[in-house]
Amino acid sequence: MASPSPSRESPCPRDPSASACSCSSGSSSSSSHSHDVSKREAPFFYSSSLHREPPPLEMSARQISINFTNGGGGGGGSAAGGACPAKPWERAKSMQAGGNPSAPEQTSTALESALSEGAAAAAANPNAAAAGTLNTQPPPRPWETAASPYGTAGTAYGGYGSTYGGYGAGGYGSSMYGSSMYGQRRMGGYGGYGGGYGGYGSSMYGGGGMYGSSMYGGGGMYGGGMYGGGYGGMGMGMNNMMNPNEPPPQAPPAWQRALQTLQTAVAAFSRVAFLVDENTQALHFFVESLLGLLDRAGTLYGELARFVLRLLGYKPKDPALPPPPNANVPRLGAPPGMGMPGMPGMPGMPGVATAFGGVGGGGMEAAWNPQ
Amino acid sequence: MPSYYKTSFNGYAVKFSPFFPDRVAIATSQNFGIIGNGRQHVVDLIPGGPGAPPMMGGAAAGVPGASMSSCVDVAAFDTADGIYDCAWSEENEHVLISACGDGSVKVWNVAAPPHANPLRSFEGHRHEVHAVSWNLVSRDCFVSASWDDSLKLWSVNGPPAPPMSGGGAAPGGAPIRSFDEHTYCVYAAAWNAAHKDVFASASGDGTVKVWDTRQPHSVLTVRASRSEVLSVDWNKYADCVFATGNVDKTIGLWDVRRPEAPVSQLHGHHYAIRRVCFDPHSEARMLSCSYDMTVRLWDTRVETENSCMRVWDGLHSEFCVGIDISPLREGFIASCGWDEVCHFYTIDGPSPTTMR
Repeated sequence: MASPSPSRESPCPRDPSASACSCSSGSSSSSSHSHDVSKREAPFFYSSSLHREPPPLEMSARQISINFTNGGGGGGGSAAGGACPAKPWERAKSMQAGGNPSAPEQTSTALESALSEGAAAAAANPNAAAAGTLNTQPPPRPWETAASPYGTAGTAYGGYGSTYGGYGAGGYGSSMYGSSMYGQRRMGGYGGYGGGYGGYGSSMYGGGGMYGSSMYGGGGMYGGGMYGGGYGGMGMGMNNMMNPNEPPPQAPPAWQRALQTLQTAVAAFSRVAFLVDENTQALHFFVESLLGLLDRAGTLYGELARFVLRLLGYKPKDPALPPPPNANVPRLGAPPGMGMPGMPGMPGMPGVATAFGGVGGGGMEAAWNPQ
Repeated sequence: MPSYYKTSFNGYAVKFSPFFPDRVAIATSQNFGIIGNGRQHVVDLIPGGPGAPPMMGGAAAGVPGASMSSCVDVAAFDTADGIYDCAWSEENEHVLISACGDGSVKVWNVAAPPHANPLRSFEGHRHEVHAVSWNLVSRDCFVSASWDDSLKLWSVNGPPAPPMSGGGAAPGGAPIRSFDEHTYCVYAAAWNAAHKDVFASASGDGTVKVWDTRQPHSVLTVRASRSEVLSVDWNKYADCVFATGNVDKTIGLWDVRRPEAPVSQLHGHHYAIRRVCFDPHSEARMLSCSYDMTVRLWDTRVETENSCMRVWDGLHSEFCVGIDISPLREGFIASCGWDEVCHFYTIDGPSPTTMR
């Protein structure tokens, strides 16, 4: 069986208010139940074609809307009871809240407050890239809240701080971090970075080769007061070392521009050269084929002429034979302009059978002279 | 026992129905989604098949292709362009939406006859729609993420636009609003599980933006990666935490209260992470799939080095691009990939195998 049309199956197809009712409220028990049974018993498989026929005309826009909001025949009230089953996290939350299942609209205050701060910051300065830098108390890491071998809750940042401190003492030296750049209120932000670096710490800084040799030892980056650029460069270099998928560092812009100009010029020249080459070749082939055509046309003309004349009875003259004795006598049979000497068969030639038997001795001359 | 379903095209997404524990929607595209048609499968898993305790020994071995028989086609909808993502309606058990390559979002009704499908076609994007996400709390709207750098919010309950003269699906009307702040393709969108107005979007410009639909601008911009971000998903229990799947082979865990740096970074995949998915049954568990053809299970409560709990390797012979965890059956996973196979298995069960 095919499923009946949803417009007919819909519980309230002509009720205008049905278009606004939700799936849970739009279910009438009887019709939805019957349809539900039929649908459950006979799941059908169909494949709609790409060039499907248009929907029937009676399916107006309103009815489509009704179909949609009512689930197109399902009536909305099926095994699910008209509403989506509670999500596992909602069930957990409602169990925590004391078994109040109808509380999915509880909004999280933490998220709300964090995002409202972010929204305020974004509204204050929409173009700031750091629209999300909030000064909320950072949350502990997930494995720090649970009982884990990583330490107890609360001392997390102590651990990170100590890593950071060890860092500064060993590699950085006090001159860089103690400079005026760092003494200011950016401390919080760099605390965040410190956390990130702590995450990297064990695997990257332990390698040591990169950091010890060029990046920090060069000193020009860090000492030059361009802390942001230096930082980015360091990060790039570091990722480059660790991560072969990162793109290599960029060439200087002037050099890039020069190379691009050069590339443009070369590309233009190669295009022109290609076009000239193509044209030359085309002309060459054209002339060659034209000459070949004329040559072949001449040959064809001769062949055809010989063929036609042979049909007409002329014999091609053997050029090795001496000219006939009456070569100067105008022959009657030759068409005008065809009186080429030696071309047709000559009368009285020895060894040549006459084309028209019975005309003895006359040959072609006799053929054209009725007696 | 583990089972699989063979699709005719290359799989792109798999989603469990929030209403029926055995129903799955699989979005597929022809020719790896580059060119060609798309097909939206809706499949029922026969109860007692994949959900049953694993059958050991000869009971199943005597029946060749027994795992194949545990999937039944419910419907299959063809589109003229590839389908990159799908999502089930949270308010109607028969309705699902597909993100199509022609920039439209098609609405299907599984219970309707073929000539009535698609119910609607929401057309507002200029390029491919790469992800759709249905609102989990208010359940009456969804958001679509497209390669035209924008996200659009749609409502399915509004009046549809007048039908076109040429027949076909009724156009779905205009979007409620558009979110145009990303500077590159938007690859994923995910609604917050606890807040009806908040969703996150992951983009190829390396950022994840958190949006509040009541605010005119994005409320948070997280510089999630130097490379592209392909996926984002919210933790279902800790509603300030979300995860990103990045092209630089890392999974980032972020907290909106501290957006400057990731809470942690999970390493382990060998190629770009295509999709991340938090377990709806557990706060700690997270699933990810990657272009390295593996599916990995993570425990976000363990420290970063040991957080990878399980690796399904050899499951797919091509890029694994779609995963989902059943919201109704705990620990039940589906994954699909470009090898035209959709696997169904459990978190702690035996690793599925494909009988080829």
